[in-house]
Amino acid sequence: MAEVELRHVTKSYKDTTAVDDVSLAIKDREFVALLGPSGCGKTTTLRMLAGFIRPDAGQIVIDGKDVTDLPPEHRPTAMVFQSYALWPHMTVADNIAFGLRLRRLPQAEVADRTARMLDVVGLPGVTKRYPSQLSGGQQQRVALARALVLGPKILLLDEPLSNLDAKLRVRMRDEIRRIQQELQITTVYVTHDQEEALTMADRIAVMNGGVLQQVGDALDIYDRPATAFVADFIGSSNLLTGILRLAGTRALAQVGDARVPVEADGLADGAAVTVSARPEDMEVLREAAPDAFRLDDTRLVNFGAYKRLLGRHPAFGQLEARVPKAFRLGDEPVYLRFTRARAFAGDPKPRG
Amino acid sequence: MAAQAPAMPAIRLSWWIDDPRMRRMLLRLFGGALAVFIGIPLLTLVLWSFAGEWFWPNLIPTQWSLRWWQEVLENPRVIDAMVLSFTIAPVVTLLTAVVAIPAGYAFARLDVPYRRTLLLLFLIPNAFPRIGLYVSLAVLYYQIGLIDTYWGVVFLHMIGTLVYMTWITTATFRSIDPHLEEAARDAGASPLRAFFSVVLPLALPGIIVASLFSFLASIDEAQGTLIVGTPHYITMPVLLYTLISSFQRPVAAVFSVLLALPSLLLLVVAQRYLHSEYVAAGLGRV
Amino acid sequence: MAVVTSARAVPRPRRFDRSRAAGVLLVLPSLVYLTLFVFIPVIKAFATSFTVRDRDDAGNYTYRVGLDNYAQLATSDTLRANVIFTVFIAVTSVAIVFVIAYVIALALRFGKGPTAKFLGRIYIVPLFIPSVIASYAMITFLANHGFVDGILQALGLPDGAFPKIVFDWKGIVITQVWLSLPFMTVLLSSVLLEISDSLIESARDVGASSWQIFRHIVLPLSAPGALIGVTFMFLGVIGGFTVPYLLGPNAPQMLGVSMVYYMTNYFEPYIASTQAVAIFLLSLVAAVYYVRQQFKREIR
Repeated sequence: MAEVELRHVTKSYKDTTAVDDVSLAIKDREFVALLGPSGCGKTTTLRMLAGFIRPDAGQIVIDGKDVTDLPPEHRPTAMVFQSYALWPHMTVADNIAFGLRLRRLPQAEVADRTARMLDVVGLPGVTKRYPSQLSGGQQQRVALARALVLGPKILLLDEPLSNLDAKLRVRMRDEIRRIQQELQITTVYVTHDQEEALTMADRIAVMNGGVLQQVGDALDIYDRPATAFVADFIGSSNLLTGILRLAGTRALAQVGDARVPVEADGLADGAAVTVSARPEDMEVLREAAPDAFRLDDTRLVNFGAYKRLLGRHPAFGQLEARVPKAFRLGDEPVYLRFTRARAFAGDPKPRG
Repeated sequence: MAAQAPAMPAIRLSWWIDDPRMRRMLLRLFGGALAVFIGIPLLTLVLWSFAGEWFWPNLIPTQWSLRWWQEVLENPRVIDAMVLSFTIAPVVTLLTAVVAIPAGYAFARLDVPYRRTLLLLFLIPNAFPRIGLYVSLAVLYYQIGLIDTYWGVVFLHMIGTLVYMTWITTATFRSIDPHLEEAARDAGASPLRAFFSVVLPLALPGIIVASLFSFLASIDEAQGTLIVGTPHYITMPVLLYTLISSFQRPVAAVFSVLLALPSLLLLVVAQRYLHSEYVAAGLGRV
Repeated sequence: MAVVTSARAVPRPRRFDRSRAAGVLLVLPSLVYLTLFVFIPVIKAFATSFTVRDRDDAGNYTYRVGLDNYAQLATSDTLRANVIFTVFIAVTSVAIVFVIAYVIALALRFGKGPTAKFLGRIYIVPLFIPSVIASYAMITFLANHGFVDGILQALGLPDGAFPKIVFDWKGIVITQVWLSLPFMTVLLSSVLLEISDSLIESARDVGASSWQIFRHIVLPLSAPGALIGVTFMFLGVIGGFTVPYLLGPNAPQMLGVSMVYYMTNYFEPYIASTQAVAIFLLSLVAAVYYVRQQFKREIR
């Protein structure tokens, strides 16, 4: 019952286009993460949803109603800010009750809903305290309660966990997801942390340079990246440049002397492509073989459950493969072969 | 570079500053001298105000008395000046606040067109020599009939206070996280409501300090008031000009102490809130 | 559901921009005030300074544009002496205040002992004393047969040997120093606070002495901010009236005093305005510097 749609939304500042023709439809009760590096336009997009920024072009539609020209106070959205933005001169209870009082609800109901919301976020009994007397995690919960108490149709979160330490971040991640599921609320979540996006969201919208790169669930984004940027930004990838050769149903990329089998949707024969492969899609060979890449200066980095094999190819630079933890390096050189790769048109360098 | 050559001249020049004990001693001497320099002139005034008889070169009065206080406090001219000063200052402060706070907010938060140019214009009152400005203003006042009027004095006092308060409030509003205001809008507050519920309470300490200083600046303004307010609008410091010039030493002393009281009261009150930025922003009371 | 890739939407019509309109509306009152009570007088002062009043044979006044007022300012010995005197006083007092204030600011920034605490309490006091009172206090303190003279008498100085301080340039300078000390100190303290401890500590780490740290790190880093204070005070002293009026000599006069005399006693707005503009031009370099620096701070 709360769907959001961005239609060709564009926002430019003096010399940059912060958000460039973004269209995105978010379904009812869906949790969508806007993911991208800093300056990619994700926060601008979120702030346009909230009504703090007016787009230069395009429309924002909530439940079929065009809200593009509505100020934030007239939109059914509620935002949790990165800095929490708790009002320091008000107690926790007053912070949460502020919006309820603006709506002239009876005193008893205000108190009741405030207390109930504090229960939901797991923070009962702090009503009389001031924000400065709370820990970062507690402030985060209060900010969430303040946003949720008004029963918004859409919850907007702007990098809400970036000010917390690593442990707490993981806990709050689960907590936010639990609350979202419990309240069945449509949620848009801005983050630059792919782990957050991959673990929390139903769908992820990857942005770069103001442009929406790909929208899909975690598996889509990871396994079938739509652009070289996504392939590079999500997880890690080996990126090489080559020329696409189509032969019947098979597609090969000519990379130096080697030919790499690739998935290349809709690209023409002879196109310059970027070949991308996940470290786990690399086969490690102990001796030279056709279509394999020789690695120099190899070293192993231990990740506990597995190891990463890093090395340099004389022509193509740094390459890496994921190897079992029992893997050992000998004196002889090591070769890598691509077992699965994707080809994208153009240069691998991310824009913006 | 400094490591190799043990620069003899540098060491000789600075031996006293490099030795902590010497430095501490010099600092104490300096502190003592400063205390004498700042404190004793004020103390002499207080002594004079209670002096019944003080013949030079005695270092303290030979006779104590309250009769100068009595004389000053019963003098109708003094009473008039006090009443006038204390009716001008609140009006100046209030008008300044009403005009400066919105401007400060706009400069800090809103998309004001030609913001840079406007901010530049706001610096002019401090860049043009103040007394020159007052003299020019007096010429204008003659032409438009504001010379020797209540409002003429009020508007003159506002020159200094307006610029000062605009700067302070701009800095204060800017120091408040804009997200706090956005959060209020998000919760359903109108722009005006968000300002009064969230921004204004948080800016209040800065505004109060700026208002107190404006009040004080108005009470203390002498040179401009002397030019545009005479002969009918004699405020306390303008009256002090005449008292000093007429060489009635104890009377002037009593009056000085009286005039300094509001300021000293403020010193006690404001010390807690006295952020250096407020003063640094340009309290032009030189 | 992938990215929608149909034609781009047309730009939204430029709506009445509330933020800009509100900004204009909120700034407007102060702008009107400044125009009426600052900009117009300043412009008029310029205009008046270039206006020459002649008297014809019938005794009627005629007016024309000319540089005669400035010529008078430059050729009249009295007026020229006033200009030189004003600059001399301003430079001298600013230099003295700067040195004293810097010492206090250093002590406040780096000192921890009770002396630093004590300094922090007393230096601020003159800020709260109106300049008229300060001037009068200095008169009673420094005049011949004043307090200091009395102490020196008690110490054996012969009567009449006390130098003339009040009604002399020394009196103006000392009082100006007294009054401007808090402002300059506060400004320098805030400038010194911006120098991070890590810079000092890393210098100490490589073996720099206190003097070397001061000379090569603290002083250069504080210079830009300190210059704002210097120019502001310079402008203040040059455009001041109270202190030279109460403590200055009859001749030469500082321009502030001379201007008011020309205005109120001789009713000569032309010469008065010319002096105002002359002060302004004299301090123009300082004013431009001040405005630019202050501006850099204002703009994020």
